Amino acid sequence: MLSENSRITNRSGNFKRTVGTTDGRRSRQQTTLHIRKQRKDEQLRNKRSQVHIMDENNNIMSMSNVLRGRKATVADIPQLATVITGSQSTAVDKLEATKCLRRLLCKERNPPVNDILNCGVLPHLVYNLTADPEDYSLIFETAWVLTNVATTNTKEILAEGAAGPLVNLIVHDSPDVREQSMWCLGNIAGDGVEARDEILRHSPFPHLKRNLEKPSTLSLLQHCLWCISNLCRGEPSPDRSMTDPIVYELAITMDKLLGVSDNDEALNDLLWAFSYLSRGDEATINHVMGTGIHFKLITLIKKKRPKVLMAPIVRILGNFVGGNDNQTDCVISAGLFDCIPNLLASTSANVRKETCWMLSNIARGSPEQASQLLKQRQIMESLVDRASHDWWVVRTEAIYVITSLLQSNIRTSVVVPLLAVGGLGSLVRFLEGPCADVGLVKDVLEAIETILDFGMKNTEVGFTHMLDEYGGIALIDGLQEHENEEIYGMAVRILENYCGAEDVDENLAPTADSDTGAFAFGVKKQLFDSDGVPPSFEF
Amino acid sequence: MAAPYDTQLEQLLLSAAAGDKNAEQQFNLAQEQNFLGSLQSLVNIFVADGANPMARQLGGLMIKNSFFAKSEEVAKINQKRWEQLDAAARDSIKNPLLQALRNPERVVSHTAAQAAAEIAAIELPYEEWPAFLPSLLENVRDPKYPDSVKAASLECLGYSCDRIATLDKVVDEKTTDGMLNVIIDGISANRPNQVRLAAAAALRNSLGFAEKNMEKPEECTAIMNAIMEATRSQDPQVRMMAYEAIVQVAVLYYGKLQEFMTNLYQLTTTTIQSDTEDNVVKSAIEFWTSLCEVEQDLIDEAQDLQARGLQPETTCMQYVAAATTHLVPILVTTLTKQEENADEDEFTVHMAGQLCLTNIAQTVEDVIVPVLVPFIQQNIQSPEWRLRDAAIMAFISELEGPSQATIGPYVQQSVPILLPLLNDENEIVRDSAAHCISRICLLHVQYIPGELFPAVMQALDAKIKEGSPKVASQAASAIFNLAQAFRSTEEQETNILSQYMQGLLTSLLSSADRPDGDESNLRVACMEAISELISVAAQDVRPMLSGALPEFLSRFEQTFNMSVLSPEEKNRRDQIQGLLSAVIQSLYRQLDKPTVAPHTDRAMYCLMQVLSNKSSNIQEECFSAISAIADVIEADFATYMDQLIPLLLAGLKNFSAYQVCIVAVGTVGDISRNIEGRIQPYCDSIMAVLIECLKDQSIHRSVKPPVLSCFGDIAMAIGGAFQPYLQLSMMMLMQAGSTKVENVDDDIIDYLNMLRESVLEAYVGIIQGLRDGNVLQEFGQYVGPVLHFLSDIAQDPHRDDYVLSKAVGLLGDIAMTMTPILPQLKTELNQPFAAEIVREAISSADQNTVETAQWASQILNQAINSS
Repeated sequence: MLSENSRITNRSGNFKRTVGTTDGRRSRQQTTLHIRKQRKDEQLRNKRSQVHIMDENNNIMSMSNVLRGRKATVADIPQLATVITGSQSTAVDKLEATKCLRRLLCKERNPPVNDILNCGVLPHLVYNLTADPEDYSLIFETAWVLTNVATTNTKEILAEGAAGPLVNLIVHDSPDVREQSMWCLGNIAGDGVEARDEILRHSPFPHLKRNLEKPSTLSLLQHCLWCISNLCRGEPSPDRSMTDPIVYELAITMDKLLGVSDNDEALNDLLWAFSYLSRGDEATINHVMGTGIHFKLITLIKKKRPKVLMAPIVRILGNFVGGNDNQTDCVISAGLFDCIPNLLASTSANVRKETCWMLSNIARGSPEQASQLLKQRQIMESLVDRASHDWWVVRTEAIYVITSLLQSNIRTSVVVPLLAVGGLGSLVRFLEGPCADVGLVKDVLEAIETILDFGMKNTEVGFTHMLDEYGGIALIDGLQEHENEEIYGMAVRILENYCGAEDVDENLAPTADSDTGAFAFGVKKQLFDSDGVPPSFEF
Repeated sequence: MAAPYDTQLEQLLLSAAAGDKNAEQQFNLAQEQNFLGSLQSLVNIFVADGANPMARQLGGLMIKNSFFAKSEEVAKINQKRWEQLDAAARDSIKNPLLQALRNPERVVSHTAAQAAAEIAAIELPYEEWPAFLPSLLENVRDPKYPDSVKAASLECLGYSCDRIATLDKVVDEKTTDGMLNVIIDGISANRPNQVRLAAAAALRNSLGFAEKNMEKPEECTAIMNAIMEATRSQDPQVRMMAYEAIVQVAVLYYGKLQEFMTNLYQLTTTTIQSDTEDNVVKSAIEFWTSLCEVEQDLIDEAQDLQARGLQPETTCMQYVAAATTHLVPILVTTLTKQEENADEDEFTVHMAGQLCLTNIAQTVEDVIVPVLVPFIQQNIQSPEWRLRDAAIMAFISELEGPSQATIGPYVQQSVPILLPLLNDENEIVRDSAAHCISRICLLHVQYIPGELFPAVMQALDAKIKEGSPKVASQAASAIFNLAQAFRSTEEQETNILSQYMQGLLTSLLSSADRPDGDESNLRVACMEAISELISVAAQDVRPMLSGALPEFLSRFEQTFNMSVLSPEEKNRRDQIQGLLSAVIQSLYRQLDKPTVAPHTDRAMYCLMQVLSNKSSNIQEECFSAISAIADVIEADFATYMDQLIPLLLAGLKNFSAYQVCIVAVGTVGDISRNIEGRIQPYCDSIMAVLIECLKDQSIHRSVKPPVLSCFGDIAMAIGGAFQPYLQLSMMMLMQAGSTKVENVDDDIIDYLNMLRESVLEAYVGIIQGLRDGNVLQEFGQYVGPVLHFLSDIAQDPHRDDYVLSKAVGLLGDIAMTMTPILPQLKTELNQPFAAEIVREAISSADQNTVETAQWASQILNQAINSS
């Protein structure tokens, strides 16, 4: 009993522990619980919406001859189709049969889309969209069925000519119908440029704009934005004459969304729409920047909103700074640099990559812009860090910023600040990597050459020893074996011009050791003398 | 004074001692019938000098076991019985025991100590044994008693304290004073070692009651000085126990450490550096390990309180951070004391040191990095294997705690160095290197340089194939951890793992088959890595996975032919079947219905075969796999119900292994959702077992919420056919919903919220089900109480978001479905509580809750305003 109370007895067992069945089980349990919750929610959503639409004619089982009081299954689809297509069927039965189809399609897994397409009911469904403009319920249910079909198959829907009627329904009297038709069109447009253009032929934007102006519910607004976003997406972009009128309305909607509650999903769609709309020539960018959204976007970044929103925001700002000098200046003076550190530290590699891409647009801008960027020490440090320690795609973009700076007109004033944040190291480390892009390797070598050249002309000892500390000479030495002649030539040139006479000091400390200075933080109170004098406590 | 003793009992005890189960049962039965009598006969034998010594000792132990039995229930019943005896009857047992404590025979006094401690633990909290402490004090102080009696008396005290704490009781100040007097007397330096040891142990156990004494500076100092003095004893056991008492002080009285910290630092570091006894060194290290845990808790608590605008009661003094620069280098030296032939469960100094460093890193975070880095860099490529290994272990210890920005760059640099160490000439080094990569995959996968990723994968694959069981098991764990990093709730078309999938699965499977698969957890690690890889596989791997399904099923079928003659063989078979069930589950979560359809008969056959064979640990996996199958094949699952139902019921009845019970309840819900009305023929028996679960008092409470929400799943599946169960289930639900607790702590609040959430889920399911069956009017009589329940929830300050979300949904359901039948509900729904629930839910942070609330708000308005 003496040792039973000891904390040590419970200590063993974790040493070099390997994976056990409990670890696996925990992970599987998460999956099970996630799926269970999803399916429960789905089941309830169906039940609740089912009731919602039936209140008027409170009678589910009116197709008693088809279903005999039970719930419809996939096997009933052909019969349901007969009811919908049949000239004898009553309006009530048609509605009920359509609802049954919709419920069958609402399953998240394996919805029976093909069964429905195969039974030839699609033309009738499209017909029902316009057959009786007063029959809101039938139109709504039909649009819902088409929405779900469109998640897996848009070709046949478009072939049946659904685009025109659906576009007209965007301004239907019933908000439910409006919402459902926009949802459906959004799904179709998301399938690709061809599907998108088929819808654009029917001029949906004026209709969509009216819904933006007066959205009857938040959910309707969300689907409206989803539709707009998908209609703007894809290259070539839709003609500006179509999209220009909607830009201001989108900016106003963004204000509304930011003002009310935080609806990130709607906001996300809206931002993506802007990212597509801001892609293009100076005039296109001007039109979008005319709304002043860059101010709001920068505020959004500073507020650290969820990272899903960051991706489109960075894309939009990147498009802006890729415009002319004036446009870039506007974004910079709106406070862009203040929020870059947040973005470069994002947990999303995509956001970090896009941010670097944005910075490369600035680096290749006017000399003033490049030198403004250079003065941002925190950004430059973080950029060098991204260029050295990150996923390869991010590193490539970050390196591109550095080489762009060294190619700019102000390259001579770039060298010293860049060296101060370890930029040379990042260039060298990049050469160690698996870069397949010969052009970029050349840029990097040229950048190194620019630095060495500057060192030779402006300092007594030059910068060759720094290059060597980073292991660069050995690497460039190796590049003499490169299959590309130009790279080979550049390597030879660098070695001959800058490294030939230099006596390399083998005793330089490895870099990792020399940066312990970076760790002088975090200790609240130094309580022991560092030379080993017995400590005395003063708490 | 030799009392006559029962020779029959003597024989019985001897038979029981010889392993005769029958004798033991016979005794238990006698005790059941006559509690006091049986104790008296035992005590009589115990104190009878003439009786067989073995029977005497056993008699004493039986008294102890009467209150400290294998089954907690029996012990509790006997404690109650004891409390109901009158004072004279209790004295007839207690007095002889106190007497026996003074017996010069070590065996007798030692046994008496254990038996008396059990009774003291029951009586001291009620001040029912005033003679106890004075008698012990006399034993310790009076020179006429031999050291063995003094030691036994102190042991008795130590046991009593331990038992009082386990029984969750406290003793008053006076009693504690008495105890500490005895103990401090016993621990002093002039006492012989056996007495000091017993006193130190008693002190460790009694510290929990010494709060008042520790508050008084002079007593606190006296106690601390006595323990610190004892760490310098000649006897290693005394030194170890003294450190254990110090650890206890650090955990219980952190706020009092300040004055003693300089001394404690010196004592522990001197011991760690120079004590020759491993057990003492480990206890000294444990002081710092425990101190780290205390400080971590304090830091977490302070952050938590700060977020709520409150001040913590105890502030973290950052002793560990202050000591880091000096303590860490000392601990690092323990890392070079690897034991090449240590048992797997043995806790060595090397392990204690590593654990302590790990804890320090988690406590001081970035501060440890500059202290450890020089050691790691100097030694990770040392020609001496102990140093190489120590460097790796030091690095592992700082992987968790420091910020990503600080440790990330080192991780990045380490990978190219660790890869060759996987092929080190020394196995311990290889093992550590593989473990290090595994930890990196778990904690810092993004710092594995992208360009080295293929090399890492290749190296791990090679180790899985040809490493020793230890190293291969680490490599498989690395793959498991790596796979976890790819978990995503969204479908992925492809991911980086896709190209390695085929190769890894092949290597892992062939290593799981290795004849040495039992060693070092190799088989488990390989198979779990396979399951995890399957779970995170992207779409482009599915064709390959569909080919794997029949292959794994064949393996599963072969397990039924395995030889299971010895327990080891049976364990191995069970383990393999559990692992294969997990793989099947993961595959069914990935594949679609047309792909699995031709194989499902085989899969179900295997799983049902395993279920019909009892081994709780695999049953969970089987039921989970069955849930996965039902979710894919949906309505077609009904064909298996006839065969499955007895096994499912057995799982639901498995009250003792409550985890199995919970998983089985979940499976019932999943099946119901998938086969809907076709579960109806089985509902009588299922409902009966579920009700039994709810009624059972001894069942683990966490079973109850899932059972309640399962009512809702069943009702939704069978609709109108739920009617026969309506009354009973509503009674249960209303009772569960009205559960109230006086003293709320966080655990209870969590539990009550879970309970309420499940009650709400059940109500929703039942209403929807009855509605589908057109018999909703049956629910009419319950609407009042249900609305009352909702209004309770509206006022509950501890209500969590899940409860709120379910509550607002239920409100909407009632408004929508019940108001057409019961128009008077309009007034009842037009109450502040309903508006309150909707308002709270609409401003929730959870999007789903907001949507449900918006829907419910609309419905409520319609219902209330319709004429």
